[in-house]
Amino acid sequence: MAFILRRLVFYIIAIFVAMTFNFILPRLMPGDPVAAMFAAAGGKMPPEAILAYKEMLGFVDAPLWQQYLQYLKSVVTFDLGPSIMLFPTPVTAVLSNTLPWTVFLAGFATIMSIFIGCFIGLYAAYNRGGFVDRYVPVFWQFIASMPQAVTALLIFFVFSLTLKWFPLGFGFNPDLEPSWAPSFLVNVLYHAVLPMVTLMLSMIATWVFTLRNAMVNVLGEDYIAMAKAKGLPSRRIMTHYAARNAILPVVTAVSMALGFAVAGQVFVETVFNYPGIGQLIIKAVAARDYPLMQACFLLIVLCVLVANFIADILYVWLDPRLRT
Amino acid sequence: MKKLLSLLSGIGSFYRGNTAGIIGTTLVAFILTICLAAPALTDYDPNKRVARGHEAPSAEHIMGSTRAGKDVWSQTLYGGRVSLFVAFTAATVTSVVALSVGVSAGYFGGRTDEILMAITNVMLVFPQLPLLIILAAFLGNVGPLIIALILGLTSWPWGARVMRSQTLAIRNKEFITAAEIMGESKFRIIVVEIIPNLISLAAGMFVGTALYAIGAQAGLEFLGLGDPTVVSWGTMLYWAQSSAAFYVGAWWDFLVPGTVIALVGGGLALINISIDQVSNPKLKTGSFLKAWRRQNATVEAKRQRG
Amino acid sequence: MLRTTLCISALALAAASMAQAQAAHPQGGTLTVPIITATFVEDFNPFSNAQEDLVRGTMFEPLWAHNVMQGDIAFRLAESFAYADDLMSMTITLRDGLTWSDGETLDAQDVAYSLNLGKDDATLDKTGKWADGLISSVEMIDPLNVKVSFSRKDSTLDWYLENAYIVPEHIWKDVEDKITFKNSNPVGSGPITEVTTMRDNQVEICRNPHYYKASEGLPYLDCIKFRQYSDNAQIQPALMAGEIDWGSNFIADVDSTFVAADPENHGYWYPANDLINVYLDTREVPFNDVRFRRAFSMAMDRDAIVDLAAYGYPTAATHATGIGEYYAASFNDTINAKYDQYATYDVAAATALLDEAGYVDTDGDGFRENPDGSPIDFDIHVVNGWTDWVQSVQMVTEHLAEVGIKANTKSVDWSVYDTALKEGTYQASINWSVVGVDPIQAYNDYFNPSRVGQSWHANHGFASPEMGALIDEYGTTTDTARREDILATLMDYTGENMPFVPLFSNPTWYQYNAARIGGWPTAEDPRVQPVFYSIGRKLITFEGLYQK
Repeated sequence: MAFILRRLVFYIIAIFVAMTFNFILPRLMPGDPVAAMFAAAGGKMPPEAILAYKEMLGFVDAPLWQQYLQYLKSVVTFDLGPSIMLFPTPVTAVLSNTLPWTVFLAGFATIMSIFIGCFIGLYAAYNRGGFVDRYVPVFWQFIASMPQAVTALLIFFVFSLTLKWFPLGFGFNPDLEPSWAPSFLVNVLYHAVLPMVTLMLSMIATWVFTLRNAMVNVLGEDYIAMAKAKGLPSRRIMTHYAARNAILPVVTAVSMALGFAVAGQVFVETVFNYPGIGQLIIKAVAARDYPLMQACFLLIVLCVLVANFIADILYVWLDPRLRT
Repeated sequence: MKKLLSLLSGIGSFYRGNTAGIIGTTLVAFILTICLAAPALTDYDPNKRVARGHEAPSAEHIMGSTRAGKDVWSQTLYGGRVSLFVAFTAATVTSVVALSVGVSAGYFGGRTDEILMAITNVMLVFPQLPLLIILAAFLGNVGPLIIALILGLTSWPWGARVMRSQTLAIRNKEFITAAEIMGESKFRIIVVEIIPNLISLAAGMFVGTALYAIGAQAGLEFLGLGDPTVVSWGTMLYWAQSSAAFYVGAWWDFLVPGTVIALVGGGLALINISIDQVSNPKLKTGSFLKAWRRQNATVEAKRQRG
Repeated sequence: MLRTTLCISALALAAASMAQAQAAHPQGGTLTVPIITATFVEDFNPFSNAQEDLVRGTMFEPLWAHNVMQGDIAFRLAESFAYADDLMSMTITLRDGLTWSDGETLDAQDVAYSLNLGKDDATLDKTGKWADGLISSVEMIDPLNVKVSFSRKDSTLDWYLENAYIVPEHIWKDVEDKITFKNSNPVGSGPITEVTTMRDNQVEICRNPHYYKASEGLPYLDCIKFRQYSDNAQIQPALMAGEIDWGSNFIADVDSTFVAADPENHGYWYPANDLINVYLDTREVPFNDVRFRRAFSMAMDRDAIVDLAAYGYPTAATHATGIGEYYAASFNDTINAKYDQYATYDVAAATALLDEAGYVDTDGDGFRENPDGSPIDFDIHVVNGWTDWVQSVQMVTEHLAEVGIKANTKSVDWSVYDTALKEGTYQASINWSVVGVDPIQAYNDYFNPSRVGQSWHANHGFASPEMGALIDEYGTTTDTARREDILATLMDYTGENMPFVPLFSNPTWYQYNAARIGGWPTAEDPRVQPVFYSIGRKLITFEGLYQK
């Protein structure tokens, strides 16, 4: 319990750091940052909107700490200002539509990769020195080393454009009205197959190695030797004794992996026109839409922190030693 | 002289029977060599238009040409210098910072440890690519050196944690206590006693960061956040994408930089795996395990029969 | 007789006969069009710019549309306009019986109201003519006539009134903040006004139930489907697969990707649009020497740049007098002949001119120095991300190197580029020029001192009060002979001084898919310049489309 609380405090501090980062960045730009930010907007933004945004960022006539407080207040109340490229739509409205898609894609892809990777890693550890153990992890590592942009484009070109087995893009067919009907959900899954496969290709390698190495370490422990001495069958030792303990490093690695999953989204979403935060942040950067960029960044950090927190809770549930 | 010989024999023993390490090092060394020897291997200036656009690989242009008519082979070689430079610079920066932070935290403990670990943990949790994207956007067009620096300055937390836990493990060993009693300066203890024991971990961290940096740099430049007038593997991908190389069938424009990045990345990963195996021999795998497996199977069978 | 009256009767007859011919097509069908955006939002306000391409032209019709390609004016909401004899006002006469999509009458009150919006709020002044002080007042004379009064003599306002949005007064008068107003249930005057689908990735807008041309059977198409794409790279495969009907973006290797996918139905046409120049800061050495500028221009292999950097889509510039193929109707052959040599690729002539002017390589580094010995090394600005332009500039530097001049490609952020051009702090910069209704608009942006600091094209050092006076005079006269004279003087001035180096004319990006829809403008049937990102031309193009 104390562990969970400590982690919670830690995450709150991390969010503050992210917000402070957002606060500092514009002030690092040469010249008048607000003017530079809105130069891209041309004459589109009326002076009142620019003024409102200045206030939100804390560029008021007050000492720096007051500016900081002003900024924190606006973030906490979700008053993040209007998007420049989609003016006058507020940033929060733009973001709220992309969040579910990102969570869906990253979450699903990570979970699938964990299952597949762990399965392969387990098998490799089970058959030490066998074909799988010797070559398969290394093979996955090479696949993961290919730049994600290239993998995504290759898959898109082969399966979407040439073979036409999968759609060219979008989260769902634009002609369909979103609903909870099974036909629509199937369509969503159909559109998610290629992006997910691309994401998984770069993530599986990590899990293969994590679990295999953890298993191998665990298999050398005394209690495993004890289990063998007791006469338990190998399979039971693998699943009930070794794997349960080898899972712990996997859970720790999940938090790192989530950072990568959200990061990897950017390329996949750009190539497949998937409506997530990744492609939004790229568009915002291209349009120099600073309000949107900063909000995207905060949201991504928030997602990763929440996922880490869930991983922490899982860790406590799995490892009784932490429950004291 | 003796030290050099023992160093060499140490390296030699690292590679003996270590297939992964040998393949990995060969790959990386090969690519590094050809990039450094670029002028000898190609006559074409990577920045000049020397062919028609999107010419297929031929005797004259072994890897074909880009949309702008530049030789892909020549760009791969000269661009490789830039990309590898960024990767190794980032790895160096990360290693230096991670070592400093991790060892200080582990050795000095107390307040220093708490503060340093707090910073490390917070940075660890931040998703890196969005951070890099935002930084690149605010800084404007970033050239390779700046990319290397921001990569290096955002990748150290993981290594710092590892260094710290290892330092903690060594810290209370007797030879450290002995050195302290003898009155050796803190600095000397750190550099002469502790760090040499971290070499394999530090090597792993260096290689791992280089591996990450190669991919991250290519990614940033592919998205257009780098300086498009500099020739590097990442900008080659950027230009290939903007000239729709895939759709027009000019696969070489895309696959050549992609493959060479994968090869370097894979090679570095193999080196990393082999370092892991050396520091933790239990992780070894290979043909020598066949005998063990056979024996293991017989023992298992005996156990089952009771 | 200085009254400018457009031949209403002739045009009305032409329009009527065209309508007769067009009525042959049955109604129905949907046009699918790509829009580059991160996501669609429920905002149909033309003033906010959020989703201008969804509303302009087809939802809010203009008063008239200039068809420069055909050299005439298509009257839409207005039936005619006339300048007063003293050129101090203009009277606009509307068609009778116009209605909004909600059934209310569209009359001069709406027009006067809409035009007056720009008086107090510059962001609502799409014509820009309140802001520059031309319009002094707008009033309704009777339900079908509006009088616009000027503060000075003018005969050019009709070029700019096309850009004004005529909005329904009965709705907008109750709107507090006209920029943030969402206009989610838009009421418009154009053929396509009813929003039937509003999703993040697709917006569908359909037929106006009270369209004033419904009796002619227009529009033929029922709906326009606007589909979201993040960038060009995503539009290209969609075009190739036939998911889009009308493309308006750069497509790499269009012949072997798009056309090859369906040679019967997939086509494209890239008529010349704005002229692209390399602007030089003529106050700086060595750009202050016209011989250097001319040598620069003669060192440019424009055909190679067009072919290699831009796939051959643009039209290479052949004249050095300031306007490109878009204004071909206004070319002056005599003056062009005087200066064409300076826009022709001639390395020998360039080298000779540089040698003669004293730019020689004094230190043996392979690059020339200024006559005073200082090195020549300058940057050419281009916006980061505009890949075909970045490549063009790279080729420009290559060509310069061939004649011994050292130049560098400097790709910068939009804001840096924008400021440098407007304030004249660049050394060299690649940029477009103004295309509109009349070539004087291009010269206005080049040489009128009032545009220095406002326009990207004016701060090269050759804006001058004399030229400014001539340009202003053009706008106050309707004497065609005098106008021709003024243009000739300006062309001569440009050719003589060459403050910018012409490269090529940007293409109008236009791809069409004739599998489902017919009536596309093509090179064989150039009924209008098919610019999607416009008001009038988009409307005219759309009106001719029908379902097959």
